[in-house]
Amino acid sequence: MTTEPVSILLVEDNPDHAALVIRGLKSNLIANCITHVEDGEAALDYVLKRGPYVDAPTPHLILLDLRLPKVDGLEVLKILKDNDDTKRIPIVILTTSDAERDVARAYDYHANSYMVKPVTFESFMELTKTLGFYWLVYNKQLE
Amino acid sequence: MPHQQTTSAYMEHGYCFSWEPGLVWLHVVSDIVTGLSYFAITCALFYFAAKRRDDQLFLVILLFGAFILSCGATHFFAAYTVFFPAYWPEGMVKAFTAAISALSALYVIPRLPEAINLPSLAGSMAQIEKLNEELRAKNGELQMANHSIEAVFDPIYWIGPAGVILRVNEAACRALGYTREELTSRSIADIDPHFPRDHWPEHWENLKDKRSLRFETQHRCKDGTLHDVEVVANYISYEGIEYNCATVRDITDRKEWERAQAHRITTLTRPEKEIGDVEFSDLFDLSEIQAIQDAFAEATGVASLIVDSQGHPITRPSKFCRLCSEIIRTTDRGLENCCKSDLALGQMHTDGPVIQPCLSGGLWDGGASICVGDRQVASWLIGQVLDEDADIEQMVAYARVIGADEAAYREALAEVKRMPVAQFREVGQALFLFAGQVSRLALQNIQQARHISERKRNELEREQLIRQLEDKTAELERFIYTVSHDLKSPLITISGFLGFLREDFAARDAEGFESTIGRIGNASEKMKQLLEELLELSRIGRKSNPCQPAELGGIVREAVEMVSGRIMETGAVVEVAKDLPVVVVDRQRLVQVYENLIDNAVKFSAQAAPPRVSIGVRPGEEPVYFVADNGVGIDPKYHARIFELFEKLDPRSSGTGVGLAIVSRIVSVHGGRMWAESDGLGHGTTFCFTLPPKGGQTP
Repeated sequence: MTTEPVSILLVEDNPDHAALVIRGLKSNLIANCITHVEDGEAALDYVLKRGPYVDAPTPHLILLDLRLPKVDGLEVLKILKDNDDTKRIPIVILTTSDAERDVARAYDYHANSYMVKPVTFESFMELTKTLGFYWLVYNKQLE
Repeated sequence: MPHQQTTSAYMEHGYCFSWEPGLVWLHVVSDIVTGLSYFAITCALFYFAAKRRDDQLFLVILLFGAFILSCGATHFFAAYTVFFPAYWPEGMVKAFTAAISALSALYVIPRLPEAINLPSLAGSMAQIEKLNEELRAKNGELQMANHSIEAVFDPIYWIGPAGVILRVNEAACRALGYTREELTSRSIADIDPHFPRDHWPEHWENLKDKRSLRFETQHRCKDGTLHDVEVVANYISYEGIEYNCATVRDITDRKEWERAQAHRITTLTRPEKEIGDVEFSDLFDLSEIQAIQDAFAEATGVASLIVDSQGHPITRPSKFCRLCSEIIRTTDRGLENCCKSDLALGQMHTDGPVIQPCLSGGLWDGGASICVGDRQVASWLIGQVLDEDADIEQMVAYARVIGADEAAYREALAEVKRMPVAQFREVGQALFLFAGQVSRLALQNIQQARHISERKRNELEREQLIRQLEDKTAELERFIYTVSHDLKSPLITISGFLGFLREDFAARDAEGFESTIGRIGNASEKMKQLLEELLELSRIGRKSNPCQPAELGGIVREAVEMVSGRIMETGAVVEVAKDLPVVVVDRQRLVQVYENLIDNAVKFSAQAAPPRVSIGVRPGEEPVYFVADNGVGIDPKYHARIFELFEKLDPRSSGTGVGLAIVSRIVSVHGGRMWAESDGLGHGTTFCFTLPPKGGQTP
């Protein structure tokens, strides 16, 4: 693990879902720096360090919802994976949609992982825990 | 030969021969001749090498030349030493010869296998002959192919990548009326008006991609006339040279037939009462009718012609006699009488043929009507038959009446077909039956045309239905997708926070209780709202009231009342234009449209001071109804997305994202269009829609 604080960018338009994910991650003591943005445009601004996010740190992991206001999640994914500066940041799709078309397109645009939000509380907690550990602890990233 | 006493330590070689003259000369002469021959061979060899200039052979020849030369030299020395004992120099020459020989041997032996494989001259010649033979055969084939291409009936063009004609065959020249030189200096744009120069590169790329294309176009001849053609273009690339080899077929006849057929079908399928002006040429292929008429005339020996109801010829006359066409009809009096007679013949008769002597020259004529229903479209006339018992002198007298030359009249009369009147009546009867069949065929043709056009209409309708169904299915899929996503969302919230509630309860953490329960309550409320609105959306397509004229002013007033609570809350000013028109709509639905739009406008302009909403109509050919606000505005790039189901630009705003979807659905069910206008964030938004003047389809 790196010595700098591990930062996660959570792109989620539903504030309740965002609260669920944040609480799930925090209760497993996975990350102390979670930034939450509510639409695709803000997500792009944050990662590409534009507008109000000029000094934002590069996130170690992006959790991205698909149906987002302003700029759609798939569009955000495509832009970030097409950009040489951001294409190595792991992007995990975290959405309610299990439509085959969405899964296929997400992988076509080089999503690192695709996860469907579970409907039961236990599964949701299990998922946030596993997700956090896998991507931030076990997964080897470029320093 | 002198017997010399030598001063050297050696004896002449002649001693070995005991100076016996025979033996001495035998050796000397043989050696000299051999030596001379060797020298001669060397000269020949060098001459050969100089002429051949073969680099490969040069070294070999040089070595061999030196070898033979030195051998020759040893022979000369052998002859010399018979008389003079110069054995040292002879030995030297022999040593040199030995060296050259060894060198040659060393050079030659390793190259033996190569030399063995060298083709013999005879072999080479045979091979060259064979190649020549093949070349001749190939040339023959080429010539044959060339002749075939030239002999092909269809024009063939070879066209370069830039559209320039590189080569053509004889048929191409013939078809367009150009010489080969004229044609090969032109480009496709010069002969095909549908292929302007700037279209060519695109066509070329397309051809390169597809390799072969078939299309219909037109070619312009040198005299300016246009011909319909079908072109098969083939992309060919050979040794880096690309060209298009195109064969062309003239389809003018087919196109004309198609056009005539299309015209016939449109003419024949007009409503029944308009069929009154159907022309004979609309009913039949005239070339077929002409063939039948010609055959009938040939078989019966009587002249034949089909005229329209005004007496104008439709077909070309068959077997007309000279007496009528060249003599009687060329005089004023004769022509006048002929026309009268034809008109009488052309009258509609349904009970049998008309058979009568001509009112002009007195030859026997007949006629039968061709009818569609109860309308005559043409008459089939026959005649110009001379009764066998006719009085020739009496007939010739008519020449004087009309002022024709009597001798010529008599001569022409002699050529006229003679027949007993009874037989002519039989021909007339046959004609009547024939004409009856043609009439029935005309009716069948009309029915067939109607059948074809009906089938085409059915096909078109079916295709439209299939397209509609596909659209509906796609819409349904989109709907199910969004619904399943958005209904699942509050469910995840509820179960998630219930879990936290349990955790908090176990930890006796009362602090989190309130907000967690609040979130669960909100989520279930949202779910209820979603379900209600979805139900509403689905009702728009299903349950509907008929469109009726309604005062728009009243509709807007009702809608404003419905949202008066929020208007009061925000202190918004709502301005409604005066003199709003009467619209033909489903009143209740339109109230819903205004209710949603006004509610939206107030909601998104709450921060403005004061929020202002104006409602009105932009007059014009197609009036535009609008609801404008001075609120947050919408970035133009989201103008289309906002009408989609569950789309919300601001996730924190209240509402489910169904409202605008309902509004646009109602407008589209009325047959109108809906759009948003906004100069961007902070500039307010205007929602606009149109309504067809008569209310469109029943919503």
